[in-house]
Amino acid sequence: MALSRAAIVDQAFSERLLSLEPRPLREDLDSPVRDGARLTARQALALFESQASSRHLDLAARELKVDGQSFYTIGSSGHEGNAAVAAALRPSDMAFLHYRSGAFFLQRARQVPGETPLFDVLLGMVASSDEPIAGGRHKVFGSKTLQIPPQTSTIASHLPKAMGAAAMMDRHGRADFSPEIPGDAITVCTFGDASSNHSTATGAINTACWAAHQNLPVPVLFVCEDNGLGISVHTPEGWVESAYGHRDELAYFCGDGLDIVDAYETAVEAVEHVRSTRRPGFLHLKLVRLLGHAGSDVQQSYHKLETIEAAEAQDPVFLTAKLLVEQGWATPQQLVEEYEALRTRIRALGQEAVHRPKIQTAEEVIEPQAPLDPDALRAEVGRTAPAAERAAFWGERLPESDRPRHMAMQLNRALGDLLVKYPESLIFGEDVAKKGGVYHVTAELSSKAGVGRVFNTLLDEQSILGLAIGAGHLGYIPIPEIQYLAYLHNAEDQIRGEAASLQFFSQGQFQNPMVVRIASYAYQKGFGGHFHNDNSVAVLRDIPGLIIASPARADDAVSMLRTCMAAARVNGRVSAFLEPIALYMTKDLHETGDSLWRVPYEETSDHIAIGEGKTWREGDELTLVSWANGLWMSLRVAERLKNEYGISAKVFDLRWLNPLPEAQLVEAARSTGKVLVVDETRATGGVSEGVFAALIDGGFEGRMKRVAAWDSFIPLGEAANRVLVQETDIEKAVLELLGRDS
Amino acid sequence: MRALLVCPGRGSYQKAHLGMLQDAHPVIQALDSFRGELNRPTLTELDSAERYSAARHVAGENASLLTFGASARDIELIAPDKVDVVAVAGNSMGFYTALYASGCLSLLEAAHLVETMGAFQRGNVIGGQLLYPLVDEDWRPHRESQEAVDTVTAQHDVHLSIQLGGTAVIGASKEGLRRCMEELPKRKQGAREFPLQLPMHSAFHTPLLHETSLLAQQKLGDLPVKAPSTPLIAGDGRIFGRWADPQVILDYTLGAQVTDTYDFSLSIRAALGDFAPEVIVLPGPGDTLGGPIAQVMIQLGWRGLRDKKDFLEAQGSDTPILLSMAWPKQRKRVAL
Repeated sequence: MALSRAAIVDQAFSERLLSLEPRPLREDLDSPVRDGARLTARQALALFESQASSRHLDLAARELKVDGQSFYTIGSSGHEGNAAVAAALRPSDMAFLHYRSGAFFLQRARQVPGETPLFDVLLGMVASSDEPIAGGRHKVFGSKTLQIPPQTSTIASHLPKAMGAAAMMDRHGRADFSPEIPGDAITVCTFGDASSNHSTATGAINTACWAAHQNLPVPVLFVCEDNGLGISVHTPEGWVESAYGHRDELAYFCGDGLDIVDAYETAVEAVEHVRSTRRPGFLHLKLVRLLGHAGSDVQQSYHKLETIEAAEAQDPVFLTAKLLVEQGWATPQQLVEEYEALRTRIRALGQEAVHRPKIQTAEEVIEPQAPLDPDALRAEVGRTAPAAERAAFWGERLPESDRPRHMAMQLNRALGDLLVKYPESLIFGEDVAKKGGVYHVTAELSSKAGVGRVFNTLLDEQSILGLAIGAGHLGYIPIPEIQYLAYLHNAEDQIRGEAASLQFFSQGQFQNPMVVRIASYAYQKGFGGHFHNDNSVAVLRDIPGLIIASPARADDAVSMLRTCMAAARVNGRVSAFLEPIALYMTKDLHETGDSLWRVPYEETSDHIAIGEGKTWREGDELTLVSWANGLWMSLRVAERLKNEYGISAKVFDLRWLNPLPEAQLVEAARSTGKVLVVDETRATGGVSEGVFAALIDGGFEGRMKRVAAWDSFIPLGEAANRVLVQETDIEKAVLELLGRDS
Repeated sequence: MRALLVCPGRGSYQKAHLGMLQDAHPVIQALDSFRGELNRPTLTELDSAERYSAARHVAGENASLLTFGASARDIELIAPDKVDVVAVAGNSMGFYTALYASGCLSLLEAAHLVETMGAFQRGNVIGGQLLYPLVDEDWRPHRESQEAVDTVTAQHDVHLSIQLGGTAVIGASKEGLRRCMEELPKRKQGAREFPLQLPMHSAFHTPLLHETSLLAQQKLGDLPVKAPSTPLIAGDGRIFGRWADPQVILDYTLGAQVTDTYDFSLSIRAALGDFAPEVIVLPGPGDTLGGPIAQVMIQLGWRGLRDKKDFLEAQGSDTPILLSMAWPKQRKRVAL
């Protein structure tokens, strides 16, 4: 049988090394590894061990895969020069690593006593529940003690948060809140040359530059590990340098990732630049990819043999060993012994790893996904800020002394109080500062809390959410605003793939608590168009563990916002808070001047638990189920039906779109035996699908019907109402459901 | 067999071991000459005493070298064709033996270290140590005990001296010890009652030994430590390989090793998780480290061990994981 490329590379290491002439051994290991090098021989020997260990982990993954024991073979072979980057950093520099960062991970672990990175990585490969960071949910490089939040991204979607964490670091010494990291810490993220083209990468780097352009500190080091390939596609020669080598705000460093001396030298320069200037840096490490993209990848199918062999000839583990031999720091025999000893160790560790427990049940899988401690949450909601601090914030007139107001105003006050209650909270987004948001929900908060806590961002939703995730990693509770629901779709994966998944993939060891406020839905009078009236929430509803709040009136909005913040603080949860734009300024319900949609502001409010719905109106002939704009319309229709037809309709508000108030919903449905769901989102993928499913799962056997928006984008002007649910639609559906003629 | 060697601490040579060093092994002979030159009782003399005397055998300056000598002799008797030592760890004073076993120090250099550190104790016991269990009878974690230990070690003059598997070794001033004896809930395990004070032990591995550490640096600063030929695992979990900086090892030996917690549990975790040894070999007198090592393995679920019963079953099998050279049957699997 022909040897695999992995076996060829493995064998070549020893054969080539043993063919070298041993030199007289030198003992002054603290001397430069070669003339003029910053790296000492001792450091180089340590780096060699990390590099060789990383290589053996890749080989072990393939061996274990043959036995059906390993589930992940994307490796770090060819990239082992990234150990030099770890050596140039400190273990307190938060690192967001991609999947080829094995040697980086091992090298950093060497800097913290008592770590067992080899075993931990093997546990990840075999998906054991004993793996210390992800508990077998993914093979990641991650560790709480090593300040390495686990990343699963293969699409550079970890770059916005690396940028975000960096942007939020230099807030030391602030009276309100100071993250618990060294004052000169930086963040680092690693990614491939192909990934440097993802919009997440370009966006994150752009945002870092945008901030640095204004002299705002963003101490982040972007490390592009350039092996010239994206699976089978070549990166054009010179492209990475062309894209990132010429930006005023981004210091560009290019190093030879195959030469450990140059890699270290360049990494130290890059790290020192970022650490001392607090400005972003781009470290371009040129290296090779060995052993294919993953174990299943047959490089021969798209590469000529000579191309593959040319890369293999540049095996960085061999090149480091060669340097050590040629400079007289070790004999070929010693290094081969070391290499083989590592193989034996790692194989033995692998055999222990395969016998470690695996996740057995679905319940175990999701256990860290959505932690919820209702009692602690209730207590947290009940905790208020000291009166003196509130007085200092609001001035002489506290908001509760004002008359009843609409939702936008009361949300503004709730946000103000939350800024006082949570010194670690931050509000940011497009136009939220001086302008106070498009709908004035954040009006004057910036002047009251300071521009350090309520600030404008650039127009890039990925970066806004990345900033929030990064801030969350540092202990802040960010309240980012997404200006319109349609803008979220531009960046939705930052919630789906990143924010919502962090506790899942770290067993809660890392958290990025946040409340994402999103101005949502349609029905804006006189202001239209698809991008300002989006009514699609399907993309949020299936994100595991994401809390989705969607209030209809100011009092609920205030209470639910407080609940979401408490969930962030107590359980590190991520919430999407969908605010119905059309109800921001709505004052009345049934008729002009009734003021039923305005409420007084209260400093404390009854706690609305997550997933707790509300019956707004009792009735016994049918149950209208809705939320947000649909709830407001349903209440109006119910009143008219009573007056015009004597129909008694119960109106039930979901309030939370995830988790749905399932038990309450079924009970509300059973009490009348008939349900009409008023769904302002689209018929396909809309919330009513989930409501029906919940009713059926809950055993409801009565009649069900719905009115929902058309499967249509929202057109401009009056035409919008042709595809959106109207009160007349609701009325008609009720009558049909009850078998009544209109 | 790929083996982890774990060298025992000072208290290991006990009454039952009298007479164990009478084989005129070159190691013992060399150590006898070493002691003879110092005009101190030789190991052979101490070991051939008719009766075990606390004043003589437990005193630090003698107990240390007895344990060291017995361990060093056993290490020399390990058969290379049976056992491949892949890493060396130790507990407390056993770290000095580990320095010898890993090739950092020669026999006499290590003896000098042991003797000098032991001599500091002569008539100069600083504070004291006591033992308190952190596990239940099945060697599963016992939360209340851990909490009690956390509470007492939060006091300024009470410290965790050694994290010894399922046992906390607490080091404190005399006054601190008295408070610990009062405040720690009484627990009985087997025939022993806890908290259990250790006689004639200083509060090693705590800041109370700061002066001793400075003295050690003065007297032993020129100890010719070499990089280990076999990886050495320290009491803070650090692993020193063949290219380690000897100065760092020496600084640790005379510095943090003396004044900071000796986390034996962490060193075993690091050894298991980095080397996956097939067996763990215990040289020297007795097998008192067997329990703590097993307790660490149970904590980790190593080899599927969940409690004391699992461990004893594994030990009773044809392939025990722990081989104590104090037990003839196990010794045979290891020794020449």
